[in-house]
Amino acid sequence: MIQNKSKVSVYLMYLFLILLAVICIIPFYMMIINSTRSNVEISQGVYLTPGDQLKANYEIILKKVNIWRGFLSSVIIAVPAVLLSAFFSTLTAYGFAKFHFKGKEIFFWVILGTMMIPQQLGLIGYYDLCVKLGLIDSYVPLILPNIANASMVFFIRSYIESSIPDSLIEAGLIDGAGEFYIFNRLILPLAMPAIGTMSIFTFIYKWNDLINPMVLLNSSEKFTLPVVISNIRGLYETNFGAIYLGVAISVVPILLVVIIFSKSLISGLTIGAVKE
Amino acid sequence: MARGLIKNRDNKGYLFILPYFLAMLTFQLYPIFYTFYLSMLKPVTLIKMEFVGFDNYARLLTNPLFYTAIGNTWFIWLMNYVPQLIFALLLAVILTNPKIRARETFRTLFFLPNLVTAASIGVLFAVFLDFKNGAFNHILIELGIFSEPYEWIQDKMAMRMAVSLIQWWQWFGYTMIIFMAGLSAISGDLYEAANIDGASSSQVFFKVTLPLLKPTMLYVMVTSLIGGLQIFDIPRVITNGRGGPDNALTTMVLYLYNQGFKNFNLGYASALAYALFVMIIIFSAISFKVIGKRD
Amino acid sequence: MISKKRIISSTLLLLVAALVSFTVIGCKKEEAPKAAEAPAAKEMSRADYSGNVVVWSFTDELKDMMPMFEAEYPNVKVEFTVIPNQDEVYLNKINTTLRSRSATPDAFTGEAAFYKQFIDAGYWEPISDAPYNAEELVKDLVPYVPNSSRNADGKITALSWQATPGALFYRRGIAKEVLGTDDPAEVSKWTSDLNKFYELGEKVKETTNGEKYLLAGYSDMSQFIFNLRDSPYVVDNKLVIPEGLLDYMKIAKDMRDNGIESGTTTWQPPWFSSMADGSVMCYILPTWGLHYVLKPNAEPEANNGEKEFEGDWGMAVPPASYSWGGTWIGINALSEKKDLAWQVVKYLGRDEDFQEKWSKKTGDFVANTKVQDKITPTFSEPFLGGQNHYEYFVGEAKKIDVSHRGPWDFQIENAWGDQVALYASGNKSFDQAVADFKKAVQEILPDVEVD
Repeated sequence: MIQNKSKVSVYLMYLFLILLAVICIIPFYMMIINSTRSNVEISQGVYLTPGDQLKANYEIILKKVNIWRGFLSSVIIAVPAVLLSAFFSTLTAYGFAKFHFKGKEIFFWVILGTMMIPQQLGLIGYYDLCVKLGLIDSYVPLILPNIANASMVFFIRSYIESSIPDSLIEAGLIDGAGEFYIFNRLILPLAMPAIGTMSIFTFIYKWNDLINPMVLLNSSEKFTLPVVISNIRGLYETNFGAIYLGVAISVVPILLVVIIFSKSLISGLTIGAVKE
Repeated sequence: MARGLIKNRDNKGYLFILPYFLAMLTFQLYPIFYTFYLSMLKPVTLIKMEFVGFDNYARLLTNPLFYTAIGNTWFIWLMNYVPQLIFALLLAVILTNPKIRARETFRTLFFLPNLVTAASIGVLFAVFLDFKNGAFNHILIELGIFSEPYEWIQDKMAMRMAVSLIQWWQWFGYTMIIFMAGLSAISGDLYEAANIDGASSSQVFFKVTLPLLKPTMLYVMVTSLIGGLQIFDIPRVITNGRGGPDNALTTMVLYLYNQGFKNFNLGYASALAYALFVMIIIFSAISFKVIGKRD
Repeated sequence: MISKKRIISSTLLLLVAALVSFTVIGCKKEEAPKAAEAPAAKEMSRADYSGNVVVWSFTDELKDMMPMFEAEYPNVKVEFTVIPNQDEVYLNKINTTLRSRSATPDAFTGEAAFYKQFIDAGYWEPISDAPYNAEELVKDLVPYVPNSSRNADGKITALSWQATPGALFYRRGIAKEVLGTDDPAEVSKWTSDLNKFYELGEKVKETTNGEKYLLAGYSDMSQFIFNLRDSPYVVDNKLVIPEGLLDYMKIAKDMRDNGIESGTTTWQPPWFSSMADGSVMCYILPTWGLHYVLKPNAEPEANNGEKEFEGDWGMAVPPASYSWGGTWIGINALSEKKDLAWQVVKYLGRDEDFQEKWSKKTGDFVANTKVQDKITPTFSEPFLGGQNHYEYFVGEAKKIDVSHRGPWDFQIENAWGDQVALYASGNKSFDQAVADFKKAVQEILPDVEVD
């Protein structure tokens, strides 16, 4: 009797999970379906089966923009940006989590504070700064600032605080290991689930970012994928099908990143962060 | 001996946070001060500005639309944040249970909405909610709930709820993943101990899991305050940037954006940015006080 | 593994970067770039010009124009970039760039919705006087095109290759069904007057049992409505609401309530799709609307050259003359290559050979009246059942008067449109809508008196 009841609740739970998954997939699926349909079809309604306009849409894209060059630019920016973010954020987070220096609280609030100015406006000052630094039309101002990634520091800090015991670091110190040795050999691997999670988010953010590259880059051959995709749209015409195809093309890499990092995350989860 | 070692090393912490602050000083500080400087200016033309001191702030505080925007922002945020938190927490607990099948697949699927950009959601949404041809009205009429099509995009409450719904849809998977990472930091030994003591699963959740999730909770709370109060993309794309009907979807940042980039009043927009900054910082501090306090 | 050394070295690198940056910022305000030497006044042939010139635009039309320019100027290379104005990105980019006194781009375009702002800000070099002497060149142009780019000193600042008079396009099939004729002159009797136009809407509804509509949405009328005024919106720092706008609000609601328009909104996906499904009789669109909006959406296969145009469309006289949109191009006042930039502006805005080729290639209506006169007699548009739409535009272009246009019109008209939508959908009273419009104007222009 009790067994039956719990069985029913297990089925209900799976039903709930599947329903939710469907809600999550549908718009995503529609986006991919739309990339195989024509402009007119898309504006007329909702479709659940693919159309025959995939090739035509792809040709519109090729005629208008160099989508694969944009793809390359996006990789050139997003990958180093994520690596810088991941390494320096962990470094900073560790500093905040495991050292008790003076002014720590204030420094941390300063970091939080930088997240609170809407970036739409910050960009005006940032452009000004890049002009003074001679960095307009270069990838540098889109990559280097990622050394300071406030939300990543915040997250990894709380992760390190709650999952890495002081005793572990003490043991390392007693064994005569240097601070940076401990950081590289102990902290980085142990914080990997948090770093991986945040890296996915940072990658998605950098990959989808439109306004920053658009304002900071001038040469069309340096434009990133979202910029290139927005160029598919003409002035008086709309090519929804082609735009959706462009968006679908740009989603593939982030999807891969999510799936790949998910695997490493899962292993991080099953190992159980700290068993010592 | 170990104590001594730990004590003496504290100042090395500065070394660890130094690169971050150098990058911040180089790239982030100037824009922030520049925005503050802008908030003291009033445009004459697109490039000519005159200094007006705190006039922009005075205008802001006496403008009803400013308060409407604050109200809209909070309303939309609360309506999506509360369900988002509940779903995320529930799913995180379910999907970290090793007995559940296809956990990895579910997690990836729940995260999918976060990959779609606001602009593509905007087009889907416009087609879906359209007055005469939209699928939503068609369904309602088919089902006999409505007898004639309803103009959703002119209904304030419906539009606000729609934004909250889209926000929820986009972010519950994200928050869930953060909770999962937080849960993974909790040692399995604690659960074993609780099980040996004969605690029920709801007891385990409230007595063990939740307290240990505090740092994650704090993170989710503060970052979604910071991000959520800056909500902008979705209200913009589904109202074509107008923030309508009747400013019902004019959030703080959309208001700021339209003032700065459509009405070309960067000074006033910057003052709005600082007002938002103050609001976020106050509520973040409260979150730290409430959630972050050590027992 | 990342070594200690590497951390230290990267830290040092950043420290240096920070120091360098502060020194640079410390130097502050470098001298504003010196205005380039005035272009030589002596006659030069096109091959004498050489170098690279940077051109930015929000419209990709220029992508096809620039190779034509390069063919004429063999030693000039155009570095052209399209930056669509989706989400105001183009405006943002021009503003951030020029605010920092950048000499790049050398020439850039502005659209009807915001070019007045560019002119007021002095982004564009005035070209009325030497060495440009544009005044002499604009005699052959449709007058409003150069005149509307005049700055506060009365100097021309930009030119355009196009003039954008408005028209009304209708489905011949529906016209026959409702009026018994599809002759443009007969149809124009019904469409050229606003009251008759409304009556026509009722006829369409009755004849088709409400299955077909006069308009896709009342908002399609807004462009000619906004032209129906004899004063700017702001006079002596006071808001003026033209009578026509008030009428429009009432008509919009009547149309919506009586099922005369199909309930879509201009530029929304369902609006586009209504062009193809045959449910709507009239679209009020200007010159470019025919080629860039109506043709590709109404008969996509034919527009792609996959079959013949059916010619089910005709052009008639709209309830009022209007102009809609238009792209101007001017020289960056801080450019160091003004001579080359001027050649680009002059080529697009004036060159007869170019404008003739361009209109033949795209069907766009060009600004040079000599070219108009040359090509008008032979025009016949298969999409419009062989009608010569060029002839009509020539007449309409002369009527365009945009002297009352101000820098804030786009924002003000959008605000009016918002209130019309709320009133038409029954969400508020007429008086409330007008009052809320005034509040919205106050947001746009805080110093203007609205009552």
